[in-house]
Amino acid sequence: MSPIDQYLKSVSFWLPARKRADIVADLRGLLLDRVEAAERKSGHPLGEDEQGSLVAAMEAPVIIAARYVEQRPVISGILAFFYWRVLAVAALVITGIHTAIFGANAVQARSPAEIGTSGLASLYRGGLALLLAFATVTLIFILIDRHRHRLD
Amino acid sequence: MTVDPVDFSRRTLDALRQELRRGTLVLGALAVLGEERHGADVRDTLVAGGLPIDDGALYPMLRRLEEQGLLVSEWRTDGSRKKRFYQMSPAGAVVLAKLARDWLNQAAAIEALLEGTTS
Repeated sequence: MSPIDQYLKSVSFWLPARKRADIVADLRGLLLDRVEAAERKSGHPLGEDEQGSLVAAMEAPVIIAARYVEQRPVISGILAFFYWRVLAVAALVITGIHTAIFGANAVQARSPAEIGTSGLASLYRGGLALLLAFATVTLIFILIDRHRHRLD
Repeated sequence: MTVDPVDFSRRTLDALRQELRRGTLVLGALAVLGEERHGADVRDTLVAGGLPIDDGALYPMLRRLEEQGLLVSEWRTDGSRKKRFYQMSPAGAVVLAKLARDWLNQAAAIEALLEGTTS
């Protein structure tokens, strides 16, 4: 596989299926334009190593793919500020609650093993609670953002 | 952690310059696509006109303008391979006229403001 084909394969991984073929064709054109320009300058056809150097000068595949599929952020503008604030508060509250529960269980525990078991259980429940809070807060803010943009 | 004031200024300046350029590149691309051109030709024309742009940024921009209905494109064989040729659409011409008027008005306003600060 040529350096150009390898690069395009890496870029296409990040592209949505319905636009992939067209964008890859665009990028192939861009790379071949660069090859032609380099060949005009050097006066000879480029070898695979030279093509490799040319491809290496391109931006990372994920970056170039992102340029082609620029999208509005999931949660945009000032709402993003409040989103992170609410997430931080939720994480603090959940961590605080589960730390308090662990503390109370640890005080009542009859052995170090019981403390360990209680700790693991608190970690597990706390982790689940954090995941649930993250999903719920994110979904709510996505819905608010969509509604806000529909009104614009 | 202290930030080197020279480095901070350069980063801030680079970011502000990028903001300033973003809109002008669209205006420049529409302006040169009154006639049909290939992507590399658009880039060369912009560079020669004092608007340097990397083709890694230009090609996605041309595609976006086409998706917005401001450009039309066609694949054609040129020499030994197929190339994509772009041209401004009728809607693009209307938008270009409006953006150009806005740009000239803003440029005049900024020039007047700058005269006040530099005199």
